[in-house]
Amino acid sequence: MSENERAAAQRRRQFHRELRARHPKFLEALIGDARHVSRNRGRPLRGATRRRILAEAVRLCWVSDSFGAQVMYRARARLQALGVPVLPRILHRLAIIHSQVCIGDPVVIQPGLHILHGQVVIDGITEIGPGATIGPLTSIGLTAGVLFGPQIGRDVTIGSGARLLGNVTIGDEARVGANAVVVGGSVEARTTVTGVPAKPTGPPRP
Amino acid sequence: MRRPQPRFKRAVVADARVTAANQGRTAPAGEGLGMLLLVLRLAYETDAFLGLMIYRGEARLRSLGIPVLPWFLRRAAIAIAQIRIDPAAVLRPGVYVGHGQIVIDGPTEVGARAVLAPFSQLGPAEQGGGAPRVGTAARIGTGSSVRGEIEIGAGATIGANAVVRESVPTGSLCVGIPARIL
Repeated sequence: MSENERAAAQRRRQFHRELRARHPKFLEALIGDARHVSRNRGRPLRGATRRRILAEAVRLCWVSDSFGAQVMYRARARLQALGVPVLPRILHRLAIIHSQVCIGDPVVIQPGLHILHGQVVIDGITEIGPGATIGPLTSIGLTAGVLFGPQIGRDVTIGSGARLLGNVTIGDEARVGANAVVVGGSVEARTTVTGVPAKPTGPPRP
Repeated sequence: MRRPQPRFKRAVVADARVTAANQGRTAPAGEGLGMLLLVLRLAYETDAFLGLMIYRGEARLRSLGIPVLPWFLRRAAIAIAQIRIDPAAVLRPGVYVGHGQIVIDGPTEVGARAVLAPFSQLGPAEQGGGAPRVGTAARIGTGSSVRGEIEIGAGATIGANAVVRESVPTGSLCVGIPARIL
């Protein structure tokens, strides 16, 4: 291995270490997710104690299709950030088997994620803000030859079957319609986009 | 219906090479220990390579007429990576399945170095008839539906969520519902 290759490999490792350090802490993520999912399911947890929220998280694992897989993903991301071997890979595999939630290593998701039923593929150097709601059968990730995936703001809703590919930016509180294909460019904050390729349905909501 | 399937070792080695190339990894030249290590590594690290490998085993055992075992392997491929491939379909050695979640029905043929993105489905049209033939190094986009007795040319790209019902020429890009050639 040449000097240059070694330096490149070291930079790559350093980059991934820094990326992993940005994963939220496990409990913080779990509590954020449970709050967001409960609100979406019509049982808001305003002012609830930590213990009450954790009890709700356990209940959600039992009653919802994909909360279990979300918990496995959160545990895996955190364990990976801590440098624990093997266990993250097993949790990743279990999340895929549990409800087809495939989230790649370089993806950073802030606390407050709701995956509606599973069957989601998220990959690439992608960042998802807090309060995201992601429908089934969606892909968020890469197009050929690009390393960067979408950068998604806070409180974004992604409809079932939507595709967000390549380095696109999705603004805060935007909505992506069912089966929409967002490739290239960006979606402005508080805008709804639909269709193939996705176009705004109107001006941003106030 | 039993169709000849590629030999297991040849298929897995070719799949490993294509997967490594698509993920920016280097693959060893021969088929020796280095290749075995690459195969194990891909099975451990990637989402769908293990599922694809199990499918290769299933297809080969089925074409050799071995009973029962293929059924279990099929279930395993579905559980591990949601790879549902009809026994009548033929995937040439060296196919890249990025994240699994694919459905291939009927006697579909997929060429070498083809890329199958997640949520894509290939097969006969809903009303029956023949199945698609996917050319060498074609890219089937995420969520696309390729159905009917059609030909996807070598190196063609099918865009995300495209619904393809007619043949696509070599090297073209095809997007939309129904798909148009750009």
